[in-house]
Order: sequence, then structure tokens, then C-alpha cells
Amino acid sequence: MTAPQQAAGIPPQIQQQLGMFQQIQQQLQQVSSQKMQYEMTLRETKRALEEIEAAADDSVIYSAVGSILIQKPKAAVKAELEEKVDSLELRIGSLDKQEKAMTTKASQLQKQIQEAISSGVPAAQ
Amino acid sequence: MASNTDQASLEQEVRSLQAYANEYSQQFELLTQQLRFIESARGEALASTESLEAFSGLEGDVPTLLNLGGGISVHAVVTDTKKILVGIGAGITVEKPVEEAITFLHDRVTEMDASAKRLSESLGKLQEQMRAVEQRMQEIYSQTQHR
Repeated sequence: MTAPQQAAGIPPQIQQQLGMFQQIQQQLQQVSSQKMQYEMTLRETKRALEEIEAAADDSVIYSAVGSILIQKPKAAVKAELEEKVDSLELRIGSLDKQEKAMTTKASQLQKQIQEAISSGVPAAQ
Repeated sequence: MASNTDQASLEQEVRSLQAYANEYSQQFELLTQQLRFIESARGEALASTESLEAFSGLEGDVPTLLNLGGGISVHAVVTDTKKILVGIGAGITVEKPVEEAITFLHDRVTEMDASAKRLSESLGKLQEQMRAVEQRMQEIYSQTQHR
């Protein structure tokens, strides 16, 4: 059976909910992947911060600005990294909330679709 | 009637097994890529360690060849073999004594070895799961052939 033939046997309301479910799942994947990237950057930044904190105050430190490296004092680099950590933690927190909301919405939709399919009655809007 | 129910149930199981097989295959590809990346980074770290160890025994200006890629090199003189610039991530580079730079690289290699071990274990488990799915598909295939 082809996909359109299969879809033809499904009530329009369930089809609509299945479409919404797939859309939420795709968005969820995007949010999760973005969160993972930020978490990786956060780990790297925290690690760099630990290295900087362990370095002597007069250490020669360079920071990448575009395609060149500029020498900066330890305190300035430390402040930059701390700011980056704060900003990343905020973004991760926000993505985490979005992820949880989407997971809840997807579970609810899945339950509604399953109930509608098993009872043979169109799912509630 | 019972035969139709069995058939539908088997079809459902095959669809489910195919979905698992696809998922496992994607995960396998992803983990293999990560493992290749770690192995490449490990090789690079070991080559750098070798260069640093060679530097640590040298004094004064060291004439070298700077590889530009494609088999092309230019003459370059390393004026300071005792102070090394180490990229620590997040776009930050710190000057370290050569011995500390070597220790830094050793630590990175140790971490990469641990990650590679974990990845290899995960790949082994995935292979087992993929084999189990394949075996069940074979059983279903034989079952339907003998009807």
C-alpha cells in the first residue's frame, strides 16, 4: 500500500494530528541538537576557564578575534570567558524549557492519536 | 482468519524491526564518525608531542621547514623552542613551557583514549542489537517461506 492509499484510510482529524505530531518531533530534534551544541561549547569554555584560572597572573594569553590572535591580560580573558559561560547557561536553560514543553505536547498528542485509533473515533482537537 | 491475524502481526513486527534497524544503523554511523574524529585528533596530538620533545632538546634558533600543504614547504626559523603556544579551547591560546605543553597533550591523549574506549563499547553493543534484529528478520522470513 502506498502512502496516499494509507492516508486515505485515516480520518482527516487524525491525519491533522499526525501532521502536528511529526512537526513537533522535528522541532524537538532541532532544539535538542542546538542544546547539545551549546552544551559542548559550554564544556569547552568552562575547561578553558579552569586553565586560565590555574595560569600565573603574568601569563602570555592570546584570544581569537576573527582570524587573528590578540594578546590580552589574564583578567580580561577570564572576564570574557565568565560572560560566555553565563550567556551559554542562559541559552541552554531556555532551550531546556522549550524541549520539555515540546516533549509534553508530543506525548499528549501521541496519547490522543492512540486513543482515537484504538476506539475508531476521531481524536479530540 | 487466525492466519490473517498472524500475517498482520508479522507484518507489524517486520515494520517495527525495520524501524529499529534504521535507527541502529544511523547511530552506528554517527558513533563511527566520532571514533574516526577522535583517532585523527589523537594522531595529531601524538605528532605534536613528538615535535615538542624534539624541540625540548634544542637550543637557540632552529631552522625548520614549514609545510604549506600539497608537498610545499618554506624555510622557517623557530626562535624560541622553550615557550610553546597551546590552544586551550574557546578561542584562547596560552603560552606554556615546553614540558607543560607536552603534559597538556598527554592529558588530552589519555582523555581521548577513554572516550574511544567508551565509543568502541557502545559500537559493540549496537552491533549485538543489529545482529539480533537481523536474526529475527531471518526467522520471520523463513517462517513465511515455509507456509
